[in-house]
Amino acid sequence: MPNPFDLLGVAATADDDAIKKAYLHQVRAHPPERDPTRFQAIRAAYEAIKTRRDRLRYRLFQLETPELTELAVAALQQPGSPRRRPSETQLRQLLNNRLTHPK
Amino acid sequence: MRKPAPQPRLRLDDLPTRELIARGAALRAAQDYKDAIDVYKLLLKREPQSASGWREALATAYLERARQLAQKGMYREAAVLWENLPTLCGQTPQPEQYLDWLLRSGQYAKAMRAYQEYAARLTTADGVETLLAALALAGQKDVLQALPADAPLRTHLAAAQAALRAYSQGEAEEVVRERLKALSIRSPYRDLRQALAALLKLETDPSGALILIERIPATSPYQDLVELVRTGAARDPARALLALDPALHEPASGLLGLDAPQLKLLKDWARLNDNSSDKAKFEFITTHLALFDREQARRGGLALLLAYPQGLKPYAQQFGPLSPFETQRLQALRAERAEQLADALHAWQGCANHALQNSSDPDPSLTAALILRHMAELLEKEDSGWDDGQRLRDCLEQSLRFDPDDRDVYLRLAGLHQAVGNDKDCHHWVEQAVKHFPDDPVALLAAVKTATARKAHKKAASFAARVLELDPINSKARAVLINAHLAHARKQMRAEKYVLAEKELNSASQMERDRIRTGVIEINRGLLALQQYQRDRGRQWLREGVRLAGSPVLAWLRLAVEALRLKREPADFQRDAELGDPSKLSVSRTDLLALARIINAYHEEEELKDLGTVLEDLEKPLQRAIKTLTSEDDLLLVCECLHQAPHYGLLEYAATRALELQPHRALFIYYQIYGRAEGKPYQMKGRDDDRLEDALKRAAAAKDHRSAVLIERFLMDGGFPFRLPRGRPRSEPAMPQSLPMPPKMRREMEEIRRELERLPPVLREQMLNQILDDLPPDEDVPPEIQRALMKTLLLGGSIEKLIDELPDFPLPPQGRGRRGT
Repeated sequence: MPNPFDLLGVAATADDDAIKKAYLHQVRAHPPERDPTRFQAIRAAYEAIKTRRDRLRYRLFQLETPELTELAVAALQQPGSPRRRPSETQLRQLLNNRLTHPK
Repeated sequence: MRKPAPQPRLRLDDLPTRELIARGAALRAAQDYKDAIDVYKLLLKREPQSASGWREALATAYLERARQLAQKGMYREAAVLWENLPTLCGQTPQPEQYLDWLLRSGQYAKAMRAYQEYAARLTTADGVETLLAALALAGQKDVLQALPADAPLRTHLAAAQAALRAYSQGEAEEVVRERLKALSIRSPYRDLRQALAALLKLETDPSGALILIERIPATSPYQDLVELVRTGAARDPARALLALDPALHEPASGLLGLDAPQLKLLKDWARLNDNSSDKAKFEFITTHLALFDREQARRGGLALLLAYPQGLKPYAQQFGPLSPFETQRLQALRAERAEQLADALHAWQGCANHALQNSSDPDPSLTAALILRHMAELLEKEDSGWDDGQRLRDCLEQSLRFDPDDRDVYLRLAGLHQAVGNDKDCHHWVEQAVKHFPDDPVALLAAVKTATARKAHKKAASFAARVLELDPINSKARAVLINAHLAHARKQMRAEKYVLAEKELNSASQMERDRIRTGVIEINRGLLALQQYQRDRGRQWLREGVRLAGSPVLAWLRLAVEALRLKREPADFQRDAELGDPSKLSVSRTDLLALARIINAYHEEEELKDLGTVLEDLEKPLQRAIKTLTSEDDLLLVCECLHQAPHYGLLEYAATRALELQPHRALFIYYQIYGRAEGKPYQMKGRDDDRLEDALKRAAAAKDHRSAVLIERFLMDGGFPFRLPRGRPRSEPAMPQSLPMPPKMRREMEEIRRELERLPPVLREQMLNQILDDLPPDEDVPPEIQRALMKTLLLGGSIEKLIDELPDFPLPPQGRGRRGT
């Protein structure tokens, strides 16, 4: 199971209300009739961390290897340097790549 | 049986022309152009007079095959195939595709020659020209040399380069726009114009940029620029970046303003996707720690230590040493992964102790409680049976001391005590559940169940009434309440308290909504009236009950059950109820299935011991009805019900009928043998024993777990310890290490054993013999075996060894006796 906090888009410190809100938001975005697989995953994630007791249980006994996506996303969201346009060489390179190694 | 030798495959050359034509057409229809080419080449060789037809077909096959290769990215091979067309078929169909393949395979000089050669025939030259323009822009200027000086591909190149340069060098928006204006909508460089305009727009209006890229075709060579725009305009650009083609990482990182460490992270992320080992993940965290939220990174690293214990040292360097609690937790989880239960339990126990001692844990009691419950789950999964689940129960009980707010744990404990026959403790835990959760329907329903089991009908009714207050449509509670009133009414009737009985029946009647207990209340009213010598009233009610029951057989079942519950003979009311001789009743399939469902419902409601006896009177009509069944599902329902009732004779009959339809179904074989042996494994015939063993193997192979469990239980539990399954080596113990027995009995045995040990040998022998002489007779076990077993138990010898040494003892005398229990 993917990290339920990541799946619902909540912080690891989120409380019951925040988790419920995030869950309802996700269910609206992925209703069961349109996206049943995603809905099931959302539902399972919610059940896993719904209450304080559930969250503690999840943290104590989870055996899955952690997903690092959220960690990486947060790192990339930090302000870095000023935005800059790609160089002419980079753009030519992209064109060349696309023409010689079409996808 | 020997496998027939495969027939030699006919060579194409051996086929007559007519067959070749048919085969060629079939291969083309099946899109097998590779083989179709061979066929048409042969036809062309064999019948040159009708060559034009074959040439046409061959050209199509070649072109389609080339397309297939191009779809797989094999552009060079596709171009080579196309080049065969002029020589073999005298045709050059769709040259624009050939040009496209040449360009995509990097054969620019050849492409330009082809472009010039087929220029007049190019129907859709747009795509090719866009490709050539992109190549020129990318630096492959030689592609344009062969073109006339006034060709748009050459004349617009400078403007395109100027626009590209202006954008890349960071010129102001207006300047870049001015440069883009020089490229018309008809220019072969128009996709570049659109892509640059979108990139420019991205800086001020990302959603507007997305609209601009909509006009760039999916096959355009500028699609990578389109991807850059999409990433920059994404709702979550950081997430989009992670999913982006690594070749685009650098330009995209500039567009989104990433610094060098972030770009490094992005590149490492791409590598991580190629190698997502736990080690690689751990190193990813430690390498980019400065960019991460430290606590999140610590948690991620900690979770990875489970699978990557070598990371412990670097983890400690980065985040400090692990706390004793975490060390134990990791040990426990690792032991769980390795399925080493004892180690896992030991480590979890240590973990719980640390949690309780650790002042930094925000909720030490809850942590300890959850750990203890987890230990109970592990013990339950393992289910070694060596301590009758005592440790499991201890864990759960202890957990409630730390966290009393878990309803399910109370009920679980109640269930566990019930499973070992400890009704007192079962009741205690249900009471605790109700005490802690007085408004919880689940706890209340459990209380209803235990109260009913203890025949405390009034109490059961009060719990059920509370459930109905909380949840008025709870049909289970309603049914329980009605049953409680009915049970209480029967009690009053037996005590000859008729007014009170009438009151209870009235209460039951008021509660009845769905008439699910069709006729039961009315039958009881009838029986009550008859008991008070009110014959007319009694008859009236009984007949009303019979009418409501729906059919004579169902009515008989209802009447018989109710009469037996009042310790009366059903036959006494046969005439009053206007029910004929039950053995002459006609039973339809619908009646039979309804009867099975009612019997199952009786079982769910409460344990009824007289059902088998009730069915005695219906044996003949039921047999006739069973004989007419042709559906496997129907027979299964009937067998299940008779297995539960139980009625061995009818069960054997129904299973035999089912086996006529499904001769190899393990479940039916089990039901037949179970019925024939009257539920007693030692009454099984040798042949049946073998059949059951085979059925078990078949059920296991077919993953029919339910049948396998039923058969195994019958073979092992019922026969234990006097038989070993066929084919099981004697050295391999098939049964638990010790005899299953209630804890109290085990304790008593242990006490007696200790007392005996204290005695001098002569006196010990005397005392032992006296105990063995006083053993109550057991009709299922010969006395010498019984003595040997008890002696081994009391002297602490090996039961397994004894079982190995025991001879097969003769079966008790055959004879069905009274059916049912």
